Amino acid sequence: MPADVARVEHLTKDYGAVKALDDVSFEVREAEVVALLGPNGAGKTTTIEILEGIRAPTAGDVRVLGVDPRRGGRRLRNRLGIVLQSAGIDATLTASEAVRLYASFYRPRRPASEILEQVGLDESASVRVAHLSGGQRRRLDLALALVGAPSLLFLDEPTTGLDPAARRHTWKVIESLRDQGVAIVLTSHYLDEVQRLAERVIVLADGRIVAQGPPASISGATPAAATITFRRIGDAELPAGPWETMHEQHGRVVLETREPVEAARIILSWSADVGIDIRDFEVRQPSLEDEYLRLTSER
Amino acid sequence: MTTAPERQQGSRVSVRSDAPGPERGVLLVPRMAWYHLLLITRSPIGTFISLVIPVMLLVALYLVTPEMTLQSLGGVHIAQFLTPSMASFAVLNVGFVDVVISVTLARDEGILRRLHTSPAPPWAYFAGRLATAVIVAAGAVTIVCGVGVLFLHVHLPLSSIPMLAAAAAAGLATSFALGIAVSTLVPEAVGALPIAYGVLLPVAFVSQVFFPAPSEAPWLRDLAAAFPVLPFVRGMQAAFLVSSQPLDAHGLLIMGGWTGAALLVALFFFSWEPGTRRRRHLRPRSRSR
Repeated sequence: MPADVARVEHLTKDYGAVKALDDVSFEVREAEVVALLGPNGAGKTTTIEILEGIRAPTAGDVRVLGVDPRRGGRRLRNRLGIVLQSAGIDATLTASEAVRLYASFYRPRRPASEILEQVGLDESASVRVAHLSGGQRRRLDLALALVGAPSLLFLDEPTTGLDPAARRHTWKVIESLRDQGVAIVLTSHYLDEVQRLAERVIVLADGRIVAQGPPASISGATPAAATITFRRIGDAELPAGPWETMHEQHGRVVLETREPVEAARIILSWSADVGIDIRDFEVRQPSLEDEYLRLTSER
Repeated sequence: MTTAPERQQGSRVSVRSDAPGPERGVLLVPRMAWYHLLLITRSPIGTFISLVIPVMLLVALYLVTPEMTLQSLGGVHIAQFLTPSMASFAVLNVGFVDVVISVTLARDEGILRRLHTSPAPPWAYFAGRLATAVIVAAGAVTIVCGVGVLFLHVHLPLSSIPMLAAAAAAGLATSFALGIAVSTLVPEAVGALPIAYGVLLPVAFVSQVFFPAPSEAPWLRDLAAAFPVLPFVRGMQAAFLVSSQPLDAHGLLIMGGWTGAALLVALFFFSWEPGTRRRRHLRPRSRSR
């Protein structure tokens, strides 16, 4: 099993009477992308900022690369790459100057030209930050997080403001870093991004973990129903089957079931037996987005 | 889904003591100084505050009374007083006004936050900032004095230059520390310029930066004597005026006291986070385990 890069146990964070995090526990392993999901105010950024050492927990134990992030000092920060949700870069510096400045803080460090090429900013190297687009600035944020060849990367909404092509480019960068063994903690509001990148998803709501696991099995604890839809040509009563609900919508039969394979077999057998023609037959498994919305709306 | 026993099986990746550490802080100071120098030379407000305002004031005040002599200073020409005074004002602008504005702006824009999450030691940021202030202040004093000597016929004996440099260094150190301290009190960048000049200008007026004669009101004289600007300006003027009092132990004590107090304020209240100084007081004390 890959080694733990970060470990959070029973983490609690209070802001006055508000409990921002309540008994949160998880770990991040080498070469793993862990996504923190949750609505605004769920505690994602607070969790990341505690892991980065920016904020102190109220209670609980946090270890990043084996040390308390509040006490890890420069040696720890030398091994971290951080894309903050909101952090500025001096507008009068060029992209290349900004990368060279931040690269000078780290050992080992990567050449600025290599980093800028990796994030797709090589042609804008001599452009001042003030003249970069929002998406280019976000890519520069990522470049500044990569200058020190980090072991652990925190990406707080790294693709916000990027166009679709730039988002896909950033995904490739993240996948290539993971393939090199970098552990990545990611927050995002784009669930397609999480589904593609993350090995593990942690869903936070009101400061508590409401689900965690691989995106495909995030519903394992409380499985949601799959949906079967079809149009039937002709009138005939459907037989009994393993579906929880059934109704008609816009001329289509809609069934919700936890046993989609058995339900599909019964419907297709029934269709052949009674001679009812079935068209546009579709089985849809719940997506991460469906599950996420269900989990967070239950709170 | 992850289970607790699985979690316990994983070994840990740690920050090994033999792993390469970050770049040594002392090597980052020139890099930080270069960075701040780039910012100040590319920022119109930085150049305007540091160089244009003092030179403009020197020339403007001279042109208003080009033939004026100052009896209170032994009958010297007005330019002989204005040149060191505006050089002092330039140092105060570089060390105080520009620091208050640029630090507050950097905090508001999250630039300090980003720097603080990097392996650069915090002191390297301040050392680089101070090194830049030294370079810019030296340039500003040279330009102001150069304009005075070359165009306004001001006399500056070569033997007085070390005295001028020493006074400028002391004044820059004090104003820099005060600039960092005051930046912790400015809630938003938009308030930095009015607050910086709102603090500096009244003190400069009572401290003989713009007018040679001390105030007739005793309380104003006492007030000026309590602030660090008066001994600094007199120290700068002493290089040009035989009647002015050089920077002595008493003056250094006042300036040192203000510098120490400012450093304490900065130590306890300086924040790298945008707006957190106010929020911090609203939060309960947290503990890290």
